[in-house]
Amino acid sequence: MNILVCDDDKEIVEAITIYLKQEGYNIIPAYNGREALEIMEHEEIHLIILDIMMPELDGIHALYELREKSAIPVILLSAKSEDADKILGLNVGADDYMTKPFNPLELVARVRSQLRRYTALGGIEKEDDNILVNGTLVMDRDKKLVKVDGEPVKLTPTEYNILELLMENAGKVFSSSEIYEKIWGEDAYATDNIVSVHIRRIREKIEINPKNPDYLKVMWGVGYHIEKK
Amino acid sequence: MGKKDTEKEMNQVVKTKGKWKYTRMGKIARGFLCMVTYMFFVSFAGLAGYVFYEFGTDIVLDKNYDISEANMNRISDEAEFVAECVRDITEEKNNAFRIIDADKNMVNTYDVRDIMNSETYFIDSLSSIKQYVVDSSPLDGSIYDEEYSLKLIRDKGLDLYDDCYVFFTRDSFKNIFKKNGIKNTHNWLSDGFSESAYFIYLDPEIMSSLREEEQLMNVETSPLDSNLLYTELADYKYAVYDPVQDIFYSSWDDYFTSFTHYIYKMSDITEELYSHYGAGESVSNIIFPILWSENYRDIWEFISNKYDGIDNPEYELQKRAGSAFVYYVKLYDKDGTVYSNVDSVQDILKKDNMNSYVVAGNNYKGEAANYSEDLYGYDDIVSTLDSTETGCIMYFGIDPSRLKLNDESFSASYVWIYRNIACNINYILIGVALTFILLTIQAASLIKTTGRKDKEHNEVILNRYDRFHSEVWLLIYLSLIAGSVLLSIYVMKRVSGMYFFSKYGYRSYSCDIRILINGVLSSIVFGFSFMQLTLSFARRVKAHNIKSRLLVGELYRWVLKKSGEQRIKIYVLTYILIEVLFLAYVYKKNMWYSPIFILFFVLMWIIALYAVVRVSADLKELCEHIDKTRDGDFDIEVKLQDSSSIFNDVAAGINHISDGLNMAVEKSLKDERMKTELITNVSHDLKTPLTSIINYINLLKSEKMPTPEAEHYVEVLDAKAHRLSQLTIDLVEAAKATSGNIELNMMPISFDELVKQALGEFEEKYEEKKLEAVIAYPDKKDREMYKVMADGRRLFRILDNVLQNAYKYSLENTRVYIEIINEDGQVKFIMKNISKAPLNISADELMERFTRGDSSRTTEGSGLGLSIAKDLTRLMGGNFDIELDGDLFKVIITFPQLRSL
Repeated sequence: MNILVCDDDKEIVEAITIYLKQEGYNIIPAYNGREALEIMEHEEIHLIILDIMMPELDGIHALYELREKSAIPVILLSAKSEDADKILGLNVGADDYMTKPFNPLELVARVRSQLRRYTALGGIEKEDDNILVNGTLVMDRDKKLVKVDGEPVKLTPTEYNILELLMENAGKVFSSSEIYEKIWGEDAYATDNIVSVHIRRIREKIEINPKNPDYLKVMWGVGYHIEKK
Repeated sequence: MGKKDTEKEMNQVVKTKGKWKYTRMGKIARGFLCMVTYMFFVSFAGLAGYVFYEFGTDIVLDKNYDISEANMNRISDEAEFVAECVRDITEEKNNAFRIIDADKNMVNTYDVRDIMNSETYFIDSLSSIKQYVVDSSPLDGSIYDEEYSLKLIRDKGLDLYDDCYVFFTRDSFKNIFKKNGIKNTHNWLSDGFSESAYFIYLDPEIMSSLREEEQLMNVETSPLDSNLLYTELADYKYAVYDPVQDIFYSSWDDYFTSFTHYIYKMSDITEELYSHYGAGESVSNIIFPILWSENYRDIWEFISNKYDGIDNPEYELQKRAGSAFVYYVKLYDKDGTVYSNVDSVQDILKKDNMNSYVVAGNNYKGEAANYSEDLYGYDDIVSTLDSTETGCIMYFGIDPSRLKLNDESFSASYVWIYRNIACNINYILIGVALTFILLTIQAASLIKTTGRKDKEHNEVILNRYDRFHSEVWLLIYLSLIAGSVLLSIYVMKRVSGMYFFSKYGYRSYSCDIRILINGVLSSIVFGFSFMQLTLSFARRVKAHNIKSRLLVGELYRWVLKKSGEQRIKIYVLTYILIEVLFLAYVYKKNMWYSPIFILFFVLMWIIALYAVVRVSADLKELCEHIDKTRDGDFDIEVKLQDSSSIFNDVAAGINHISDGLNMAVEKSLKDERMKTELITNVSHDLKTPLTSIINYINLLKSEKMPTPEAEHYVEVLDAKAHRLSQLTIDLVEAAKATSGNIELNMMPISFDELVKQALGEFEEKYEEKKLEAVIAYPDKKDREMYKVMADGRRLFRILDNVLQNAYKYSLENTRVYIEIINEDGQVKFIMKNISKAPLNISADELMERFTRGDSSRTTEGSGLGLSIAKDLTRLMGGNFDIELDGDLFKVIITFPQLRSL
C-alpha cells in the first residue's frame, strides 16, 4: 500500500513515516499541496494523510482539486481543531479529520480502517435485513456476530442488544431511559447511569478512539445514536 | 486558644457597642428614649409652671409659705364668683343686689327681680339661686347715700316699680326727716334698730304714680307711734331692715314688699351640682343646697337625704363647705330654728376680712304677704314673721381665718395640690433641671449620630425630607413652636379650670380627662415633630446643606447662571414681571373683572401655551433621538425644527456623543477580532512542534533504553508533553470562553440525561480511585423539570471539567454526592466531594485561572478547568458557584428551567 504523507513540518512527516512503515506500508512524503498533487499524477496512491496549513497550496484546496480526479481515502491532519474547520474539511471530501497533537497509534488504526474499507469492504450487500451495516461496523443478526473493520468484536448480550437497537434505528437518538426501557423492559426509575456505562464499554470495544467515537455517537443532553452512513 | 478567642470576642462586642449607636435600631431606640424624657420634662415643667401660676414664685423659697394668704385671693375670687352667680340669675339682669367685699368695696350692683314663680332659671350649674344679697355689714353713709334702683316685681315676674327705693343708713335716714322737716319724735327710729339697719323709703312722687297705676296703695299706719310717724311720713313709704336683729318692717303691705328673698326651686340643678361638685370641692358649694320649699325644713331634709341619712345637715354643710364657711340660718318657723356654725350673727356680719352675705328669704308665692298689717313692736314683728312658718334668713360668709390646711373638704383639691405638689416644688424644679439636662444630652447624642452610618464614615446621609428648602423648614419649625406654645397655654388654662373656678365665671373652662389626653397626644406629636425637624436641621448643617438649599439662593443662582437656557430665563422672568406689574396695576385701580383685565389674562395664557407647545415639540424630538442612540443607531444626527430653538445646544451635544459612541464601538470590535486571531494563531504555532515532541517521545518509548533511569526519563518526558498539549488546548478554549467568541448551539437539553451520560464516562476512573458516586436521579415523570436551554457539547465539557476535578482531587475511598434539583424554576446541579488535600484558599481564588487546590503539588491537570467551566456556564446563561467548607468541595451549576409553552 502506498500512502502519501503531506505536511510542511519535516519531523512530523518523518515520525508518521516511521509508524506506518512499521505497519508495512510504503510512505511517500510531500511537503506542500502542490507537491502532493504532482505525486498523485505520477504514483499510485491508496491513502493520503494531508495537513491543512501548508505553504504554496494548503490542504483544503489541494483536497478540493484532488477530489475531482480521485476518490481515495484522505485523512486530514491539522492543528485547527474548531468544529468549523472539521466540517469544512469533511465537506470538501476528507474521510477523516485528526487534530494535532495526535496519538500516533490512533492514526495508524484509522489508516488501517480506511484502507480496509476502501479495498475490502466496498462490496458488501446491504439488502439482507438481518445484516446491519454502518460504515465498517457490521452486525450479523443471524449469527449474533459483530465485526468492525472485519475484526470480530466480543460483546455481552446487553451490549449486543443496545448496539442492535441503535443500528436498527440508525440516525434516531435514544435517551438513556428509553434504551433502558427497551433493553431491560422495566420502567426507568432512578436507573443511574447504567446505560451510559454500557455505551462506554461498547465504545471501547468497537471504536478506534473511544473518546472520539465514529459510530456510537452522543448527543449531549439528549441521548445516544448511530449515524446513518 | 481560649484566651485569644475571648479577647477577640470582647473586641467584637466593644466594636458592636460603639456601632450600635449608629445602627437604625440604635437611633430609633434613642429617639424613643428622648421622647420619653421630653414627656417627663414637659410634665415637670408644666407642673412647675402651674404651681407658680397658682401660688406665685415665692413658694420656691419660702418653706413656710402660707397657703391661706394665697387662698385669700382665691376666696375673694370665690366671693366674686358667688356674686356673679347671683348676678347671672337672668340674662336681662333685672335683679339687683349689692355685693360688698371685705374691703367694703362695692363690687357689683344688680337689679333684683322677683321671679319666684319662674321655673328653674339657671345659667350654669352653680348659679340658679335667685336671691338678692344685701350687704349687711355696717356701711358708711357715703355709700348708702347713693341711690340704688330697685324694681319691684310682683307676681309672675312683672315689673311694677323702678327706681323708687332709696337706701339709707339709720343716721342718714334721720337726716332725711330733718331735711324734710319731719320730726323724729320717736326713738324707735334710732333705738329700735341697730346701726346696721338700713332704711328704705319710697319716693312720694313715685308713690303717686304707683297709686295711679295700681290703686293698691294703702298707707300703712306705723306700728309704733303711728300717728306721728304716719302723719309726718304720710307720703313716705319706707321699710326698715335690721339684719342684726332680724327685723323687717315695712310701712306698706307686703304687696309691695321689696325685701323679699326669693328662693327658687332648683332640684334638678342641685342634682347636677352634686354630681359635679362633690363635697368639699369648693367654697361655692355652700350656696347650692338651698331649695325652694314652703317649709324650709325640706331644705335640710334634702341635704340629709343626699348624704345617706345623715341627719345632721349642719355637719354636712360644714363638711362641704369647709371650715372657712360660716353660716347662720334662721328659719321663720314656730321654733325659730337656727342652724349655724357660729355663735351669733355678729360673727358673720361684723368680722373683718371676711366676705359675708345675707340672704333674706321669704316664701312668697304670689299670695298675700305674710306680714300682717298689724305689727306692734319688734317682737310682734318678729313673732309675726315667725309665725308664718315660712321664710328664712341666711347669713353666710367666708372667713379665711378659719381656714385650716387640714381641712379635708375645703378646697380639698387645692389643699391636696398645695401639699403634694406645691410643697414639693423644689423637687419638681430639680426634676425639671434633671430632665432638661438629660434631654440635652440625649439630644446632643442624637444630633451627633444623625445621618451617619457609623463612627468611621463621616459622610452624612440625608433623607428626602432634608432636601426641601431652608426657608420652608424654618417656616414649619416656627409654626410648630407657636402651635405648641398655644397648646400648652390652652391646656394649662383648662387644667387649672378643672379645679378652680376662674374669675371669669362658673366652670367656663370645664375640664376632664379628655383634655389631658388631648394634651398628652399633642405633646407627643409636637415633641416628635420637633425632634425630627431638629435632627433634619442637624443633618443638613453637617452636610452643609443649608445654604445650598435656600430657596432664594437657588433663584439667585438660576437667574445668574450662564448657560444655554439664558433665553428661557429671560422669557420666563419677563413674563412673570409683566404679569405681576399688571396685577399690581389692576389692584391699585381696582379694575378687577374689567374687560382689559380679562383680555390681558387671556393673552398671557396664549403666550404661555404657545411656549409650552414649542418646547415640548423640540423636547419630543430630542427624546426620540436619544432613544435611537441608546438602541445603537449612532449615525443619525438630530436636527431641530427651528435653528433658534433653545435646545440647540443640547442637540449639538447629543450629536457629539453619538459620534463618540460610534468610534468607540468600532474600535472595540476591532480589538476583539484582533485578540481572537492572535490567540488562535499562537495556539496553532504551538501545536505543530508539540506534535513532533509527542510523536518522537512515543518512538523513544518503543525503543529499548540503556538504563532503567533512561526509561524513567522518557516516561517523564511523555507525561509533560501530554500536559503541555492539554494546556494548549485549554488555553484556546479559555480565551474563547472569556471573550465570548464561541458559537453556541443552543437547544433543549435534558440535564439529567446529560449527567448520566457524563457519569458514564467516569465510571471506570472513579472505580479506580474507589470513589463512590451517589446520585439521585429524578423520576421519569419529573423529567420536564430538568430541561434547560444550552449547548449540549459545551455543557458536557463543563460537567467533564467538574467531574474530572472531583476525580483528580478527591480523597480515595470517599463518596461523591451528586444531585439534580429544580428550585423555583432553576435547575441545579450540585456536586459535593471530599478533597484529598486541605483547601486553604477561598473559592474565588480557586476559580482564578491556573490555581489548583493544592498549589504545591504538580499532578496532572492544568488548572484552567474551573475557570473555563465558569465562563462557559455564564455564556450559556447559567451560573457556576463553588463553596468550600473545610474539606468539603461543593460545585453548584444553575440553569433556568426551560419551560415548554
